[in-house]
Amino acid sequence: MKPGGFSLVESVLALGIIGTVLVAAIGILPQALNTSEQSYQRMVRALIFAHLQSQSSTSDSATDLFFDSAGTPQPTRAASTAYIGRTTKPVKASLPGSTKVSLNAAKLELSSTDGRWQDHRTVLLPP
Amino acid sequence: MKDLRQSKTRRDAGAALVLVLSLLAFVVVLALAALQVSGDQARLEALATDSMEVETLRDFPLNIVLRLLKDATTSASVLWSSQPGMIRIYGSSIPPGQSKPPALMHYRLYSAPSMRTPMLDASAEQRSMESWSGLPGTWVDLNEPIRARSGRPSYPIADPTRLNLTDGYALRQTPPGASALQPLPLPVCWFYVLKDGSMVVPQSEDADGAHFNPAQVTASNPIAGRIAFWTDDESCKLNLNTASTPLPWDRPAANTLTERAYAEISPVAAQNYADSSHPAFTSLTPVLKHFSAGHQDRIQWPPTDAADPFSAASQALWRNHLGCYQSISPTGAWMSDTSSWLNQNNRRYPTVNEFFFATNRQQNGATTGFAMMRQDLEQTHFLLTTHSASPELNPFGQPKIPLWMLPQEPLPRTVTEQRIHSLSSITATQPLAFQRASIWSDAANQGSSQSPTADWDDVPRNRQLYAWLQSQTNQPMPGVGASFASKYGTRSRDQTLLSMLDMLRWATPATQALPPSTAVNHHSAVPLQLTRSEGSADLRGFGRFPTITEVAIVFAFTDVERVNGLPLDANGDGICDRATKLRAFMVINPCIVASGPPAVSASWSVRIRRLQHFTIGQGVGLLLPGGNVRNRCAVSNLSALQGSGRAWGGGHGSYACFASQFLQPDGTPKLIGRRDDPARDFPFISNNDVRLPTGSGAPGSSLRFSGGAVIVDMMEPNASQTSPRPNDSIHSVEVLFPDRAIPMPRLLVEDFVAGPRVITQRFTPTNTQGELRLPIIQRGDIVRSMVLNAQGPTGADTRLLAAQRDVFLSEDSSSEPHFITHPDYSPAGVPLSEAPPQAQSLRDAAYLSTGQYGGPMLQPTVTASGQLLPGVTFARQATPNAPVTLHGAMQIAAGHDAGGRLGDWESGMGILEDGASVNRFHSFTSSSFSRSGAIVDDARPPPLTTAVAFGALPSGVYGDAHNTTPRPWQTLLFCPNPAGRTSSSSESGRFDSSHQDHPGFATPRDHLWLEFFWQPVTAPRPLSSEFATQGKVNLNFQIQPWTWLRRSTAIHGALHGVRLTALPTAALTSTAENAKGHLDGSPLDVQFRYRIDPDKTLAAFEARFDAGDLFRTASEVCDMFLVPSRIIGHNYDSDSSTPRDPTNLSASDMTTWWNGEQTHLTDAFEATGDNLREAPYSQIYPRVCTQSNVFKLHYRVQSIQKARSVPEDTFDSTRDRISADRRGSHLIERRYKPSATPRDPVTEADAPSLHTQQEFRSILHETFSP
Repeated sequence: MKPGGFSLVESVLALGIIGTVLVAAIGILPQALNTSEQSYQRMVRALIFAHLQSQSSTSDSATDLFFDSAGTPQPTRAASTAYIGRTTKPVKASLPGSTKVSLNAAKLELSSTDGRWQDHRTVLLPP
Repeated sequence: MKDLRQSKTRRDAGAALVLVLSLLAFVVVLALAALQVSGDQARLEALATDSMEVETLRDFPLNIVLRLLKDATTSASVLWSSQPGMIRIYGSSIPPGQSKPPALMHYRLYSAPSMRTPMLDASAEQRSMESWSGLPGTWVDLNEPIRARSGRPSYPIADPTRLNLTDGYALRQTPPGASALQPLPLPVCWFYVLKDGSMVVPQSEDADGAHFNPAQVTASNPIAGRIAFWTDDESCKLNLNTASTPLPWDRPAANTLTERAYAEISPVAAQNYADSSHPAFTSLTPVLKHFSAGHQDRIQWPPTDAADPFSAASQALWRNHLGCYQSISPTGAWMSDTSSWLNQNNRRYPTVNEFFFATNRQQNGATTGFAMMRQDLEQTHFLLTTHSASPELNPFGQPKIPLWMLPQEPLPRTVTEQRIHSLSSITATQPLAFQRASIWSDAANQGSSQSPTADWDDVPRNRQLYAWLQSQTNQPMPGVGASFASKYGTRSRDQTLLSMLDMLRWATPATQALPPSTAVNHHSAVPLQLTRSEGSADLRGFGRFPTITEVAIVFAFTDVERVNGLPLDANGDGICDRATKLRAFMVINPCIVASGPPAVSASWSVRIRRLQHFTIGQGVGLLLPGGNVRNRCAVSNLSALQGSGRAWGGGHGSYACFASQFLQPDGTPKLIGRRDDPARDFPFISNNDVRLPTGSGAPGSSLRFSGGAVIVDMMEPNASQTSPRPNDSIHSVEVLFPDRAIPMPRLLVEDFVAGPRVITQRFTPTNTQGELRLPIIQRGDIVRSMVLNAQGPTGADTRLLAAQRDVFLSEDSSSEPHFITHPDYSPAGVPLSEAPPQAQSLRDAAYLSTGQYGGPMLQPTVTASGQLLPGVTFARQATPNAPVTLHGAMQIAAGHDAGGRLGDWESGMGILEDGASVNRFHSFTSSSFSRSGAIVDDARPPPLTTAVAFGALPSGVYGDAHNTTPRPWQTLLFCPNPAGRTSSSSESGRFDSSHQDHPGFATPRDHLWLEFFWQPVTAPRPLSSEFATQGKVNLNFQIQPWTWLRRSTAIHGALHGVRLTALPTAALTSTAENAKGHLDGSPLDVQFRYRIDPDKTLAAFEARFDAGDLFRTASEVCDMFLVPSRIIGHNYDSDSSTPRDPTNLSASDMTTWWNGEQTHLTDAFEATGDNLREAPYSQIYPRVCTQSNVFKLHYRVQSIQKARSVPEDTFDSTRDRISADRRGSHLIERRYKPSATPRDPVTEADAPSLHTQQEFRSILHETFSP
């Protein structure tokens, strides 16, 4: 009596399909996770920039500020420090068509501690 | 079985695939779900990130505008003016060919390709906006509406729904890019913010987008976002926290039903809405009347003039109307008689929206009938504010000086005075306010008002402030380019300054400082004068103290030749054949130029020097006294003379206190024949009968009167009677009686039958036709007087006489003397025998229509008076206070001034006479309509509310900088329509080589004096603080750059309660319809008051703006004609001579409307005094400004994510992505920096302008998210 079960063809076909799909799915998931991480990091960095901006009019120029990966300020650099922020002021900012209006600006710099990312913004300060 | 197995096998075949596919589907679903969740999270995070990043941009407009505001408004030595969207600054240099300094810089407070430019080409700016809607990468409509939750479009700045509905809110022309969906676009430029913080605007724009300079916008410095903004001036809006609805009130200007009604409702202190200097006088009606789809039958918007406080028929409507507004106004007042009039004194509206609710969270105003809907406020945000303030600094950026005299010592200061002290103090030591050395306490402690020097000598701060004002008026004013010293010369300038200080001594709340109504010398003040050690000894103020307009000698014949004890009358004609004895006595005519309510009764002593030299005949002495004999004149209007309902009176008029030279303080007659007690004796009379030379005294004959120069000294009432000392008088006048023959009288036998006439009888008051009179001049008397010379240095302007300490005879015999003989003294061409016996024009303010001193008949006042208008005689009840020699109060030629114009005089208030007065008390009650002045106003006079009151002060007492000839009938000019103006009203008044309207128009214009003074608003709560006042309205309502949009609503509110008064000349010459009332004293049923037509008036404002100029100082409102409109329901006189109805006239017709044809003096309002012409400006000036301390920044910011397919130096709105968009507003406050180092500008010459001591902050941020 011929034993029941899947035929070799079936099994091979099924495994092939599963394999193909799983490979595709596994290939997609890291990308999705990466996108999510990037988005999160962008938000964290925006949060840190907002913090730097709010401190910019009062903080000392060129003093490093430290943040963890969630954007929480830290009093000193620590093992969990993920970002280092710095405010440089005054820097030049100009209005269209006029060099006589002296705007008070600050450059906000932010970099990751692993050295793989850095960015800067310029904000205007109260005169 | 096989079939069965085969069948089962066939069924199982492919089951694995099914399972796999099912599993696969499940995995796919899971994967998709994971991806979806991840994507959603990423999008949310991106949204949050964009939001945070656009917040970075949000501060760009704020900090740009703060920078611009700081640059524009905190500079020293420049003047700045603000308007919606722009600030302009002015220096002090006048380029050749121009009349004033041009703007040094224009600061745009909106995003524009150039934020500050020396020039403003408005037409080019308009042209650049013509095609804005087709250039979305370059321009943005800041007013783009969005559909609100209510379903209605909501506009972030200006709602077009109220256009043409709200007064002053309209389109001057269709805005470029307007459409049915957006009728009111407000475009400004986009600023593109690059990553390095620099901002750029596109160089060009086409179908591919907006293109930038590739050298600026690069891959390494890409576009991060864009911003656009515009800044409003909150002082161009009506302030819900300060404005209410006004009760028009001014001093009664005539004797009409309306003017009487004004007197009846003279405002009390809490009625801020009736105080034309208070922000509460500015009306909210132009906006609020339209609330709840306004109907003119509602309480908040009655038909024009239907709510009339002066009409019995509509008074109830008026009260409801007023109560309605009082219930919603934080400046509302308590009213004792109407419980529905509420006080919201403790309420402040933090935002316009808060106005919707009452404190009980019900709808605001619902209890008093004020109707409003939610959209009313949404649609009027552009017209209303809850924060507005403007600096109270002079053109040099230094504090203004309060119109108040503070007690020097803290103890007597009232709460108001304590507030003023605080508000006018920079340092803790001394306020920037004039101070009284001491106040009146009792008869023994009269206070410094009764001293000519105490307020100067004993108050060092006054001297410092005076010197400080001198210093400032020596310098060219920013925005003006000249100084008052360069215009008037230092001496006339100093005289003006001292006159101002002197006026503050007696015109500011006086009851406490001056002797009160219970005192003999009530409401009087001795003129302030500089001590001789100052080197300007002859500068003096006016005080409330007499000068002298006439000095008369009365020859009273006391006996005649007798036979058997009876008068000899040989021919039986009833005329005595010969006079044998006489007594001579002197009468002076006191004149108080600061007359008017409150009634005044000055006390003084008078000394007449050199009288002993007077003789008659060939050296017969008149037995008059010499030496230092004085007559103390101090009789109160409240003396015993008031018995039987009568009063001596006259306290309101210029010629007050006449009788006091003949009466003791208790009203009993002074004694004759003794000279040792100045209070009891009348010394200036022959101390015995003088016997006429033998053979003289026959009627028709004459007798020589030697005459001679005498000096009349006005002195302090208790001045020492020892020998004359230098400078012991307050005021001295020297007159020269000429050596002339006088006619001998025709003495009636009946007057001498009973024996010699008793001289003392003349000094006993008698009741004559209901009036108390002194019969000092009787029939048979010969009177000769010296009167003020209209051709002399004073031009018969008594203000010029009073302004001088000593008026002595000139050593230059060719010059005209101050005093000349009365016209009837020795009239040319008239035989002496026919010369009028009584050549005098003595006047007592107690009388007008009933006549003046004289005998046998009282002399009609009109014959004792001159003319203000040449050739025009006023009716009996309107006879002016004009010296008899005056035939036209004309300004004279002197130096470069051609003169020949009608001059400045004051219309008498109520029933009082017109003339040369300096009193502009803001007080007038119904009792002030009493000529007697016996019912003294006990109410404490309100303070001077505006420096426009200084408009009565002479400006050329010592000429000007080029010619020192005194300028009579020339006072400070605070209006565009002086009586002498002839140039077209389309010009702003001229005084140059080709046209001379008034010297006040010369640069710097007189109205700039106003900029050195202020009155802090302290009630019902301090609206003034830190040298700024809330609720003032900016004259510069032009909106930059959207000049097609008109928003003059706030000025409409400021003009709403203003009343203009114009007295037709015909109404003063007519006996029947006279401005001073009917002959019986009853009021006239005619209206002399006008509303201001705001549209016609403001058309001239817009013409000024369109010509490229702004109002640089608030005082420049005095350059603008106010176009009147008649008040409905009132009678403006149907007399054919009444000037025409101004209904169809415009501002350019106003010179003609006021002054008529140049060749006629009775066809218009020529007889309207300077005070009435300036009165509307005194109602407007305190409530307007040209600088704002509060601005509202409207902004729009967008963060941009560039598309990779678009070049870096291009922005394509169809492909580049706007990742976030924010709109909102910041309320920016400019205020005196609390951390500023206080320095006293009065004593520290290098103290900085307070404009440099300001700080800026955003006090309220609102996001536009309807």
